Amino acid sequence: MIVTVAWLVLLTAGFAWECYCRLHPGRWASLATVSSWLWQRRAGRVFLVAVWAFVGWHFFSRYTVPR
Amino acid sequence: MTPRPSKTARLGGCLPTRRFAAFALISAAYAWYVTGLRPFTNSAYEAVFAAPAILLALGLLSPAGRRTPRDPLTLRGVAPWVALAAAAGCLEAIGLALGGRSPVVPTLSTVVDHALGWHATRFVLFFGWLEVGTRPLHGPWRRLSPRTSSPGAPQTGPSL
Repeated sequence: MIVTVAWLVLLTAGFAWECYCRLHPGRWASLATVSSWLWQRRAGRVFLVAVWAFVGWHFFSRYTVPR
Repeated sequence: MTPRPSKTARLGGCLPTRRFAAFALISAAYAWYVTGLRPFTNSAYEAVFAAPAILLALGLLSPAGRRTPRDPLTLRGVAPWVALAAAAGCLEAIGLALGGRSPVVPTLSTVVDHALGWHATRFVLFFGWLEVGTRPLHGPWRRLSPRTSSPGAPQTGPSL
């Protein structure tokens, strides 16, 4: 239960930090900035698409509903 | 004095257009179809992989590579993301070391599996996944259309 809460805290922190970085640009890089930077390189694009595809494959075609 | 960008531009980067609405509608229909398929089946694998295949093809052809980033990246600037990723990596590694299905230390996928029991939540998560993945393509391809591009407009990188 504690680790489940830790996961939720991490996900919420990531979302909140992304919002903060987008609303106060300059000092910290948002995930969008990092992705833009990667997207400008062909290898970076392949990496981003690969990560995104793995997430989709893992979560949406190989999920097991807990009983 | 440089005008401060609007909150909409800072948060989203692209304003909705009719084409974007049509794209969202098609994505929603596709998401509903895919999330109705049974997991671990060939049709589920093919349907989920169709989107990355199309994105990869469009991404490699996209003109975004010629643009300059909005903000230069520094190690200090990405440090919070590295810390978050390290924390997530540690939790995931411990969960996997305990077999991956431990109720005490669940992995991220075990936590997410709880939300995937309903078609509606699967649809929302899949639609979000599709939106995140196709986000970099909205800006560069839209800016190329004669209706929206302007020679004096500032060139910014795509936002994910």
